[in-house]
Amino acid sequence: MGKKVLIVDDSNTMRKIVTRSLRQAGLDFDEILEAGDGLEALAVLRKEKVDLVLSDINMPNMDGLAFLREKAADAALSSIPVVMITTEAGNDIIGEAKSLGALGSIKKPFTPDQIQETIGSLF
Amino acid sequence: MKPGSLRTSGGKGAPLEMEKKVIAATLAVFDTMVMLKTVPEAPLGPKSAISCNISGMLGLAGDLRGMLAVHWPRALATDVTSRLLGEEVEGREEDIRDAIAEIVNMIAGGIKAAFSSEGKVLELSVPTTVTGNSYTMRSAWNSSHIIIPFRAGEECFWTELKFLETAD
Amino acid sequence: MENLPDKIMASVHAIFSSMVMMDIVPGTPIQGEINPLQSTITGMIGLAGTHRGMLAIHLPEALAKKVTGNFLGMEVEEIDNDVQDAIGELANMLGGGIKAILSENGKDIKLSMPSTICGQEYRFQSHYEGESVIVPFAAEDSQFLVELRIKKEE
Repeated sequence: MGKKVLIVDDSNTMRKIVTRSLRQAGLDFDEILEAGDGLEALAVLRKEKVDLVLSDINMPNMDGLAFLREKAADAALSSIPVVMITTEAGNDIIGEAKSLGALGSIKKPFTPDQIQETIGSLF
Repeated sequence: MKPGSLRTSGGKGAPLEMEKKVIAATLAVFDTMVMLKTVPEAPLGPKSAISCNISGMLGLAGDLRGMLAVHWPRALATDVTSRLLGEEVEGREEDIRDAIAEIVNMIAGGIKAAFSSEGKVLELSVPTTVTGNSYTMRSAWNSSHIIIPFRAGEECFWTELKFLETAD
Repeated sequence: MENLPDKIMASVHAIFSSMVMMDIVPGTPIQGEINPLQSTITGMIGLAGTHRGMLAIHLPEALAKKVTGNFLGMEVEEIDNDVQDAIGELANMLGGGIKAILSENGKDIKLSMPSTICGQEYRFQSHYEGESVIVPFAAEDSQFLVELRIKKEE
């Protein structure tokens, strides 16, 4: 089954860390796509059939919460699952992300097992 | 390449509670993302000489004013980055600096979270890296000062925190 | 953010004319790479709150000694603790100045503890996707740089 995941984070390093963690979590993604901010992420979602989005919150141009808002407003994209990956976001920000449609969140630093737990249940 | 040297100075001792937070936040990053066994050692005195080639720094503000720094010898920084990214990064200076910046950011996040659970608010500034063979760092203020060595195999890195509590 | 170079120039001028008593002339903001820094001393301070970022002042050692001499009212022979502390204090005051300019309230932006770095050669790099402005200032037949990395948090 060809599943595609989109990793959204302005840090190239963090995108590599997430990619490595997905591999170590044994999550079987056919293709891993990347975007540097919410705007790029929306462009990718409109072009490719993505099965899961993992997104940071603090990003330039369009941050994670704005990305969730825009995505929810687009009928073609609104049902794509999103999990937030965050460093120091308080419960209120995570709560807001969930109210905007995020299915869950993972706090950095995380283990491959924690990724497995949060994401594995979505498939 | 010869390891560099760094002299840290200034400040006085610090309460045990803060040392525990620094250790916990550092280990959280290592046990999860880096997956390298590291063991904290006894804190160093304030006027200690440290041998390192790269330091990640991040300022703390709010209920505490502080500066967090994590100091690395080159070989260990390279090894840790390779583990973090899941690929060999020898010679990829930019990737190593970015990873060192990301690590200090996550350790700061852990310290912030530890304070948050005690009702204290810390705001984080942004990561900076300093790279070289011989640089000196100093925060002059007569503040609390913690330097904790962490042993990883043959090598060591150091988490350093200078801080003082701000008046309301 | 509007007019960051002007804001930086205003903040630097206020401090240099009052506390350092040194004439300075601002130049055009630098677009390229400033690293590696050689025989330099850097004072830096973090900003957090409504705006997040970092402010640094990079001075060649000889100029740093003159600045410290003026600042502390004494002759300075080498890059000792006094010089490092003075440059750290300079970064602290610059941070205070820039925060007052960026936020009318001033209270919404908080400063970290300042820190100083010095050495024969080092690379100083901010890792943050905010706006980046580097303004050079001519002073005493030399030049120093003020570097600001800043982003307004939502």
